[in-house]
Amino acid sequence: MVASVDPHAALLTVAGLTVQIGAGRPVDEVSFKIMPGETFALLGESGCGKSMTALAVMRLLPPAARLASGSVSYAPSAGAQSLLDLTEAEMRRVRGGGIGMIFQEPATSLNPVMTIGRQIAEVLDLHLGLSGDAARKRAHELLDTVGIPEAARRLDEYPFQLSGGLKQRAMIAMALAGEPELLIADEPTTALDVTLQAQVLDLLKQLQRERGMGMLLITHDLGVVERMADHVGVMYAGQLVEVAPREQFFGNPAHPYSRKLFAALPERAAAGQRLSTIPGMVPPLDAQPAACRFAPRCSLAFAECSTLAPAWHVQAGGQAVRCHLFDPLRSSAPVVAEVSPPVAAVERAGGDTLLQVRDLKVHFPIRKGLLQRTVAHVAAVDGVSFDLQAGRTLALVGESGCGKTTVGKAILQLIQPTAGSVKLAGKELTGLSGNALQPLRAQAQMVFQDPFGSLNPRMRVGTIIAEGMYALGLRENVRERIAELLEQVGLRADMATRYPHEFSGGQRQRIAIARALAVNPKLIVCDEPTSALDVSVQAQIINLLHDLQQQLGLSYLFITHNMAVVDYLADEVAVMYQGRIVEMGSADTVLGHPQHEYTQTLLAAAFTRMRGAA
Amino acid sequence: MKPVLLWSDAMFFLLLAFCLAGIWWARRSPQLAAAWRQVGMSRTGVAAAAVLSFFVLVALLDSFHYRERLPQQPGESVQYGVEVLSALDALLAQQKTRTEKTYSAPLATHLFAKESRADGQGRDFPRLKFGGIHLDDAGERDADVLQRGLIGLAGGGVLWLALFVVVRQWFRPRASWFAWDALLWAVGAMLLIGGVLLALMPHYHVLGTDKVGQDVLYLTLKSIRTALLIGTLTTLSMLPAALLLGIVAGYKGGWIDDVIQYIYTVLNSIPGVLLIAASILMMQVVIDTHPEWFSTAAERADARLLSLCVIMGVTSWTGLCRLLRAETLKLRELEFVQAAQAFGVSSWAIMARHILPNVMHIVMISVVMDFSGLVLAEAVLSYVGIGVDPTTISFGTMINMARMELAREPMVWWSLIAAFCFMFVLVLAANLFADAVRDAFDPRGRAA
Repeated sequence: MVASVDPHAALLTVAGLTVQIGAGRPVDEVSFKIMPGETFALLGESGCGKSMTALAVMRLLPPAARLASGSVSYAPSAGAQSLLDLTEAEMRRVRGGGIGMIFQEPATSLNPVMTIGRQIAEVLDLHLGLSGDAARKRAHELLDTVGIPEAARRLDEYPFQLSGGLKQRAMIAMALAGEPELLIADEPTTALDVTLQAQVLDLLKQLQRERGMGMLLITHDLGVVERMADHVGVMYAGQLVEVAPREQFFGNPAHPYSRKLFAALPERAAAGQRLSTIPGMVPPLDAQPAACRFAPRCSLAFAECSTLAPAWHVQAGGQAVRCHLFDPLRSSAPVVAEVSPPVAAVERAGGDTLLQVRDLKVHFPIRKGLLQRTVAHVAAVDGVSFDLQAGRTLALVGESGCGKTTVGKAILQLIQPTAGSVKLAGKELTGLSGNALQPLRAQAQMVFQDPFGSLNPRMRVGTIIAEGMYALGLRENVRERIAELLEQVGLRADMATRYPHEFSGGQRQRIAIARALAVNPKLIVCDEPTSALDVSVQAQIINLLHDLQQQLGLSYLFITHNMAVVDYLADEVAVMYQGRIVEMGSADTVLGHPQHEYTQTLLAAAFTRMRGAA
Repeated sequence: MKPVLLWSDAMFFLLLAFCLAGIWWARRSPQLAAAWRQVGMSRTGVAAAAVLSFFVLVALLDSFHYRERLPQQPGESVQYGVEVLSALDALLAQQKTRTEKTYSAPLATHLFAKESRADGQGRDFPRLKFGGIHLDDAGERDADVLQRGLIGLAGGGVLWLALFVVVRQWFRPRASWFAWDALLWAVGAMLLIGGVLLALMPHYHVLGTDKVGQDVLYLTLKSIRTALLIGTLTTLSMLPAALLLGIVAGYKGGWIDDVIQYIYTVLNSIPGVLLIAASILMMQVVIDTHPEWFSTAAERADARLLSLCVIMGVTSWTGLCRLLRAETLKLRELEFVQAAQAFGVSSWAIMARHILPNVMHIVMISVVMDFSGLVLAEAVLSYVGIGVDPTTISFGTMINMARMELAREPMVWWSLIAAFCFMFVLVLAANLFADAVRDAFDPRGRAA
């Protein structure tokens, strides 16, 4: 063991790491270094192998996966170790002690039946040998460090008593308890609201500075990368395709995939213009292209790309790219200029008022006692009013729990509103019973957030789309109509006989949209339709929604927390906070000159990063 | 000969007819046909189906009941025997009629217990009345068994070979996707075992005899029908209540949920055996007070078997119901259910189209798991004296008798082992087959 500390030595060196599941390689020859006090961000879409890389480093791979080759060298101040050669017992000392880990979902990474204090004390006991009062004192300090107010009281509370943001802070406190020199953060803010995201990222940054920790940050969010990373590694289909310092990466992304990722962001496109998308999807494990994995989706691909695996080419400023375009031996210079998407700025004419919501209230009763008597109410929606014109888009913006989804469901009468009025095309919806509601059901439909939960896995796509048509008595030419709808949303007509599980997330969302369109609605309530999707797929769906609005004159009530999508898609914006609309107006006004304090916070959190990157 | 149709026979035929109709219907629907094709491609599925169909065949043979015509006296009208026999009894007439005095071990030539010799010269193991009587010297038994066994094995082997050739020449080219090799292995194993049994059966009690000298092999074969009936009919009488109440409770919630929950909590808190005992005894009283309903003892035993199935079904739906309620609670929050609500699809249609197919895997698993439990429950109930009619041959009554036999010194092990082996194979085959069916019908599990 070498005890000397070389300031230029990397804290973590991963070389040629390859993980195998069956014949597929979810992680293929991944190499990178993390210096002490530095953040290395692994960026990529879902299924590209970023989390698997982290798990391989921690040696926590699922049983089906095995480490095929590569080395992981961890060199803390105490001396270098090769993590892959340690025994399981030695490895346990490294996990939590040398390397801390933070997970995506704070709600499920804390044990619900143990108090926060005990969970932190467990780590302290394991790695520092602290117990009793000493452990409690240290846990208290840790909670203070991560900015949890009233730390003394929180120590004795259970996870359910903490909000999502506090839970993630408690998770970070736990990760810090072992005094790690390297922190692995796997999508640490994905499950949090924008305002909380900013706070948690700031906290991580500050802690890193104070302790000189190295950090491996795993994320799909370019904004998070820009805010946090010193170095960026872009992963695609199990391979690193670009490694660059942050400035170089954001100034001039080199790999065609990186460039496409930037172009697909709604905040980079002007409203009315089509978003740039990446056609196709990430290849599945068992069908990875042999040469360049991105070649089938690359607009700049040429013959060599599909026959020869590209080598690393180092550019100026330490930017390394795995792409034939940057091969110095190639005669033609790399095509760096981005082909800009066709500009098709369209005037969206406002028509008559299609939807009129007045003073809508939804109160959920709190029942207690043996006889389930109602003792109080929770005002999920507390007096919301707005108008939506035909052919236009109203974005309902807010954080989770502010009641925006409840508004959407109450408008469609999926939840009985407590009070208020909802008029669709002049007809009152509230108080109508099942049969009287039926004709109005055809006029307003919903597209849901989770493309995996919104399609019945036991039904074929054709049946799913036809269900609404049958329920509403549209029984003519059902087969032709299904084919037409599938083509309208960019799928093939013969896909009607398949089951939902055969489709990717984006394709499922297309099916869900086709299902809503089947009954010729005038209004579609879109409940976070893109939040479960990757950036490139999100762009496809937003384009589709945009096109459909042009063709069919649909109105959208767009429920979202993603300000960038709002900026791109919405004509009007209503900001919701704790069951009330606090600010409403045209998109330009609200986003450009927010008046309410909450809107300002929301926008500040969402846009600080991207405006800088543009 | 006069055919007799017992109620349980009718049920059994009805079940089979439903299955055949299902197969016919599945052939016409390309989607169902594809799913069943998937079952046909699964090797374990095909092998399990082959074994199961042997059991079903035995049960089917055992379900053609008739009364024998008695020798007619001149001038008298036609008379029929009181005993109701089945086609299986006719096939196994030798085994049925050749009863020994008491216990004898498998393939034995002598009784299991010593008896006073006829000449009064001490005690000895007497020769059996039927087992191995063709042998002059009991010492030749091993060679004889070996010889006959080998002949049987050879016979089975020849049949297997013939089947092999037929499949290879005829069937495999026509349906190459089917797991023919698995079928051949399973049928081959059954043919070889069956060949040996058939070769030995005319001369020996292959699995020994029980306390009253009945052939154990005959008893086990007769038990198959009872086991299948109890397993399937009980499940059938339980399913409607469990499915309907479970899904309605989970989907509707509110007071409907409360009422259903109270009902099954109350039912659950009464000890099951007590409830079944009370119902069975009531049923017994009804049967005993109306002897005119039943013309033969077999019909009375049959009525008791059916009522046992129904009563066990009525008292055992709560477990599945609770599982289904919990699953439905989860499913109803999923967005595809809400999407259907947004289209104004009626609650019943949502429950039938969206909830029911998504809980079928639970139903399938718990039904198959319950199957073995029910056969065992029958044994327990027979032990308390409230099971099937004492004249009905079942695994339960066999196991129940084994209680005393195992306590004997030396131990009588063969009837328990025979019942155990047959039950084990039956339940295992049912499990494997259900697994294969579930995999084939789960669209998520199918290769894209």
